[in-house]
Amino acid sequence: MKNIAKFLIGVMVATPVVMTSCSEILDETPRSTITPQLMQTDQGVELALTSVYSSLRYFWGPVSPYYVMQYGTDESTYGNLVGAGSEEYLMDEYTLTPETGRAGVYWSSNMFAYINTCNAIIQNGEAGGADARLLGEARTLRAFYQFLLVQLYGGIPLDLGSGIQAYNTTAVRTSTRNTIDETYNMAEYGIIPQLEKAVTELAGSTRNDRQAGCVTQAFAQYVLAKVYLTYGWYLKNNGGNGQEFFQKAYNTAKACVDNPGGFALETYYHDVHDALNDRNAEILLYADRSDAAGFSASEGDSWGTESAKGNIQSYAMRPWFDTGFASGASPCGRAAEQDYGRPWRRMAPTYEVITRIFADKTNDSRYDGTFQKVWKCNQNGGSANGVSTTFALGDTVIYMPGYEIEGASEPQHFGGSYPVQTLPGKNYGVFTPKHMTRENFPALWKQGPYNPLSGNANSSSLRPVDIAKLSEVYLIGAEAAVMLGNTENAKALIRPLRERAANREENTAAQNEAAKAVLLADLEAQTIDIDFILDERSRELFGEGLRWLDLARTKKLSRAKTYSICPFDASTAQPLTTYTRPGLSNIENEPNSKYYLHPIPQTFIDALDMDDASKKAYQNELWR
Amino acid sequence: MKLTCQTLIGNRACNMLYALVLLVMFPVMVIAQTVTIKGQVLDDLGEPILGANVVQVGTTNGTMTDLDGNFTLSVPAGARLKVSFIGYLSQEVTAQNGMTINLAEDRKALEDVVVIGYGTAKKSDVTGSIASVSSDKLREVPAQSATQALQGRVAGVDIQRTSSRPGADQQIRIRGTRSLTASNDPLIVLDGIPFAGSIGDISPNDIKSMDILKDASATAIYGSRGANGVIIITTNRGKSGKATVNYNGYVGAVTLFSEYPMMNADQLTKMREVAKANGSAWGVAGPMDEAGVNTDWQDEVFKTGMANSHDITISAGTEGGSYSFGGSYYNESAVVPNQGYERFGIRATIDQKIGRVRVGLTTQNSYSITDGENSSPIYNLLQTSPNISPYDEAGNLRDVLSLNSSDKVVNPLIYNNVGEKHADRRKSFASYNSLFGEVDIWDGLKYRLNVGLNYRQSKYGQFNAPGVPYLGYDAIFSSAAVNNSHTTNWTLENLLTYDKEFGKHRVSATAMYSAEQTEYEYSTMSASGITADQLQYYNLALNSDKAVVGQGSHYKRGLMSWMGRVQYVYDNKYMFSASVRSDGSSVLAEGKKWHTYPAVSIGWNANREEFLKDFDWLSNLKLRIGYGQTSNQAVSPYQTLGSMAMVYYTVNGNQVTGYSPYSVPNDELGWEYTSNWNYGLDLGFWNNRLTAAFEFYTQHTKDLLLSVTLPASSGIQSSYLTNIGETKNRGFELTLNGIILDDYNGWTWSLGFNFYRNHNEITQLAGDSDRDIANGWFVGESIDAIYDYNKVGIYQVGEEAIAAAAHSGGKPGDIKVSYNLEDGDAVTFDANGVPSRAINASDRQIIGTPDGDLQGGFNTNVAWKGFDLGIVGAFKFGGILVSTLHGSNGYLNMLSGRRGNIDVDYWTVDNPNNDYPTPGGTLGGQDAPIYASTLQYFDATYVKIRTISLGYTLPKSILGKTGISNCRVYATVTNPFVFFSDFHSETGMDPEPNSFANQNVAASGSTQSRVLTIGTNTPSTRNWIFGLSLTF
Repeated sequence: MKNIAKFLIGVMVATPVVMTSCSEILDETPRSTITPQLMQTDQGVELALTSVYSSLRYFWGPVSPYYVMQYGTDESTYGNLVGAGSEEYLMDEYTLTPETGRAGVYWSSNMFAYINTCNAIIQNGEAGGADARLLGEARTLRAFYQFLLVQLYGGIPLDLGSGIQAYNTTAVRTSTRNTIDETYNMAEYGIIPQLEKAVTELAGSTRNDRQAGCVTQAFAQYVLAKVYLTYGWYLKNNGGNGQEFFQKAYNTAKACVDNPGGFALETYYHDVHDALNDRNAEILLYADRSDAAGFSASEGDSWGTESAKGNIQSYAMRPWFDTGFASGASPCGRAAEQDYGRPWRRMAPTYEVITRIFADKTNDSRYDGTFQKVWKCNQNGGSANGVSTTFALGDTVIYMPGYEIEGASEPQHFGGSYPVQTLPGKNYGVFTPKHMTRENFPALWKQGPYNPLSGNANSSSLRPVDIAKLSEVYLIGAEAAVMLGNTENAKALIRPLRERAANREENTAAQNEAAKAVLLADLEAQTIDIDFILDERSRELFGEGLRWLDLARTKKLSRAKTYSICPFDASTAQPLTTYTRPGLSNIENEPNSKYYLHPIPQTFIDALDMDDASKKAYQNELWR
Repeated sequence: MKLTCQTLIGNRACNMLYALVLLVMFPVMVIAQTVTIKGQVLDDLGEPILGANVVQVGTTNGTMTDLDGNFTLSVPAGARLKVSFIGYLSQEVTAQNGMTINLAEDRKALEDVVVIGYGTAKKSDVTGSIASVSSDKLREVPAQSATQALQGRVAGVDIQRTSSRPGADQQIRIRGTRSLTASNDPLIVLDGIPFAGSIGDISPNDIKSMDILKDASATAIYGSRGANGVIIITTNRGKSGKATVNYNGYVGAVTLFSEYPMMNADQLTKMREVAKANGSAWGVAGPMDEAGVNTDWQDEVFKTGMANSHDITISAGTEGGSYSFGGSYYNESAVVPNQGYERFGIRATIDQKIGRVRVGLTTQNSYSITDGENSSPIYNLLQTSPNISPYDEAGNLRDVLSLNSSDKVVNPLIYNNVGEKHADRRKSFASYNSLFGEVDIWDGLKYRLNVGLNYRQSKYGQFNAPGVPYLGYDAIFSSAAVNNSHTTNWTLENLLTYDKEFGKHRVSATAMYSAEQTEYEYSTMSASGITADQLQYYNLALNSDKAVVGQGSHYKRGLMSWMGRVQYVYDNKYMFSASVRSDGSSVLAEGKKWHTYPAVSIGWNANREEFLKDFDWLSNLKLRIGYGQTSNQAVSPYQTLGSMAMVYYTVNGNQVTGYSPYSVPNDELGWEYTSNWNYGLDLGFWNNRLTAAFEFYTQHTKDLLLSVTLPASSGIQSSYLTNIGETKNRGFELTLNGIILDDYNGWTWSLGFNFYRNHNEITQLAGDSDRDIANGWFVGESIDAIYDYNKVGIYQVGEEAIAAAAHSGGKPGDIKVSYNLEDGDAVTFDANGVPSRAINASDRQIIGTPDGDLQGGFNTNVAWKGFDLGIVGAFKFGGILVSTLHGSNGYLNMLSGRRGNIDVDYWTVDNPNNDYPTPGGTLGGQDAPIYASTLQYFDATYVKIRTISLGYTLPKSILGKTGISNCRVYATVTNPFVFFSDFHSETGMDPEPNSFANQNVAASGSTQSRVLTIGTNTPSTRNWIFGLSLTF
């Protein structure tokens, strides 16, 4: 008994002594998180650069950034599953407001965070003597992001809180925007001097020489050429002439075309976007994805919700191919293949794109390399379709030729989900351009999904999304030449694209030569002006998430004022209708329309801790 | 920390020190002539007392009585003996051989004692706000966990389920919520040790009492953990006397409270026709729809579950000590397949007195198995069209069903027979142990050491193979995941207490020094394409798809504290209590780790004053006032250090990882503090046959831990946790208890009510802003305020122009929402009521809060000749009930014909009501009718009978010599009735929420995830229970 008492009293006396000496229980050692100290090591700088590459997935793949670039353009309009009043609808109609979250996605998502990560890489990398190559990559990517922001929203803050183009580590709740001029051209810090420096830092780099898919000099030149071109346009639209920058744009593009550092045009246009030929030599940069272990678990490879990084923009321009036009199960089902995917019907090409831009579908292979025409029976082979006959696996179920066909009937209802045209003696359904609806339209084949491993048709696509192609550098140079008044130089840069467009793998050399002759003759016959350049850009780059910026840069929103398509009605066919976008109804007389810049998102302005007047002043002038 | 006490005791300096202490405390005894005394100790009824202490006065020479109350002790002739036993008045007598000592019961000791932090106090001395719930009250509601049984029983304590799934936890809120970002959960203390486990691990039958400390004057001694109230759980311990065996058990059927109210085949077909006429692409029959088929998918899959509970405890007192031990078993299978909960428990307590030293041990161990926590079939059942037969023409079960949208689902009937293709199981082992030693140092001064050692381990495994409805119809690979978590926690408390009465003065003082640390480790792995189904999740490496992916996390957090408390009572009339506690925590920034919390309270037992002596009917009149400060330390560890986020990328098809700065170091982070005033009035009439307790309180929480969203331009991805903002709570509580009939012709009838109201308000947010729309916080409104469009009806025929101006495509049959004339952009209306602008985001407004205006519970008990009938109920008046089933995020009220639809009274030209929009009308987000989120709000009012029990206690005459001293049989029905609920009248469903807003919905939406809602969770049940209690 006494021993127990002794023990207890001993504990009483001893524990305060022990515990005071053990005050380390108040200290912290993180064992499952990484602290920012990592940035001070070489390894940390490289890991941070990898994270910037990963951030490409936020902006190329998810739908919101894609919508910003494609809705309300002359290439596309909303599909039948876009509800009236939804953000998609407001964007396409130009009735958006600062509250339209999707329109503000670039500004209010983490693009600035990755700009800041680049700041950290450059700041710590320069201090630690990192390889110029790494610094050049980070500098290019930072300028590229800043370039996107300034084109979409106007001047951006170059100082995030700890100095101009410096790594911000303070929890600031204020912001000051630089002007558009400063953003582009501030001495030493602007996008232009930074990119010029990056092009030097990346000198000699070639495709895949450091790691596959990394930024090289060719990509930096592509961005710089486009920056020069855009800044030239900005000066021209604001009372200057921009010639100096158009010339620099031309020179930079030409230098890249002449010495592309291992990049090259593909022989066949079709192959540029073939899922089996992804990451080909024509792609200057892509937001990569794969079915590699760990990827899908963490990056949103699930039932394609709008997860932050999943590639679901491939669903957007898919028609309702997987429901039957006759009663009974559909013979054509979803599949994780480029021709099928998930029919989201959020976006549709316009009648004008199908019939005018891609008027020549015979000689120019680019229509067939962009759109899908045929859906085949891939399930329920042999089941009755309710019309008159049955489908075997591989039979055509829906045919959208992209032109009017002799003998095609008017759309009729066969008891399925929509009316459809037919051809005499054929069991499949047909949609010609005149009867193309917001629900039934040629799919954007280019971006079709490819998930051979998971096989899940509804999950996000594991294909990379292309960010920049070498062919666009030709078109940037051509546009600069047009602005410099030198149409010969412009044609010289477009000619290789037309020659390539004439090639079809399935044709003989003679057939390809004949097509080439037609396409080149057509080029010679054209008036080479900015509208021609914009048409040619659509033929080459349709649906690649570039279009809104093209129209904004060239002040050509007037091209998007009207478009045609048939409204969708499940029971009766509706006539081809020409729509006028309300916000653009007088656009040809409004060169300073507020719609040439997006509003700064309201949620962002709400998050600022500044007085009301400063908050108001932060908004773009015409959006206040 | 390493416990180096023993090494230190070995230390010479320490030896000297305690030797000195012992010398002072143990006077040298004089040796005199010794005689052996034999005697017996009996109680007032002449029954022997076992375990009574017999000690020679002034010495440590003593012994204890045996089973028959006998003792033998050698003492000097003529020595004085002190005979004592808990619950009896001590006696001093002169030693005589053959003596018999009769101990009288200590009536005072039998006065109600309540547990306060680090001690107990007489109820009449208590100055804070403390509610006690005894085990018999808890047992009136047979339930899986103690918190479930506590629901609606205590004023000011709002307990809501967070899920209706078996084995799910409850959310406890004491006097409302006060914190925006940190936890609002109260501190739970189990047998004196802060509880780092899951309340579900404790069998409700093991609980002797639950004492709920509600105000800061009571909780401030828990300092940095006291802000959200404290629940002190005391478990049963051994009692002196002969061994007794207690058995409590029941079995019962778990039946469906109600099905989800879905449209049947005819109703869906009719709705689709309307939708099609309005232009919906989904207003058509699907490829598998058949006329004449009306499949009730719920009926096909729901079943009757079983609940089983058995507890057995053996307890006894022995020489100088007591013990109890026992085991428990609980098992509940749900009404939906593949869900269930099972728990095994073993517990023991030992108390032993060794001279001046008392030592004891409590050990609580449980092993539980939860099935199906991530496997809910409900959404699938409800979305599948009733027009589809589960069987094909040949009568064979279909695998995959095609819906009219070209979506496909796995046949829900497969839920009933998943075999090896599905597993979803959590196995948890928990061991909660506390050890104490207590020594009487001198005259009321005691030292006590508490040691708590807790361990909880939980392993979760999940497996789904293609073909089960838990996966998509087109799944090719099975998926499997395993995770493991371990929590270890130790607590060391050194307590010095001093209790003494000097005439009319009574003083009690407590001082404490403590330290504790909790460590948590978690690891998880997942894989897909497991090579054979029967492998399930047991060996993820045997897969044929991708490499196994693993992750882990870890934290360690520590707390060191000093505490002192003085309580003083004069003449049993005037009470004063003051405490101070200083806490240091590892999770805060350097320099902000320590804080000191004061509390003070006074009380006055006015009925003991002379001037009230004549009012015989007034048996109690007590006033209490208390003030205290507490805080909330629920900051996650390492928040002050900043972090980098890991991201993945791909190079050449191979995964690479990158790190990006994520959050910035935060060297300012401190705690949030709550100051609290409490005013209490206790009344008792007619010898406390009727009692009333009224409490009024105010709470003011400042330096709120608020996660501030930084503007994107800061380049910092994560939000920033900082101390800004304030909230206020004020409210009242009223508890009434009465014995209406007290053995009147054999009838006894008691009745109890509790009511409470809490008003919660945010008084300050970050910066100058008075609103944080993203988080749903508004100055001047409740933390849980609901911000949305305000539905005022449906646009009717004749309102075409108004509808078209209000939203793009607007037409009759669409939901009509009101313009916000206060905060919104200016709007004018022309003579026909046509607005000048469309509805926009600025028209959203505060439309209410889920907080009730008045909440509480009631219970009544009628007894007659061994029969007893008890009813326990709960009620809530006012507030908003959110049913995500009816809104846009549940996907079940899209009114488009695409999925099964909740049976709602939708608008048509021939049915021009104002309830639900017309099918196929104008769409908003989520392919739902525009403004469909407004359809999810209902009045939350309900009155619910939680249980009705009928019991019969067998009379002693029947039990006779069976050895059984008590036997009661009973039958209970839970959830029998719901009254006054609009939601229940419309849907037939239980009006109590079953999910957080981001759970059990098809897509997350604008409702803040902290709001409790009704979603597609396991349906509520009505249980029919037969039980037996035995003591022998």
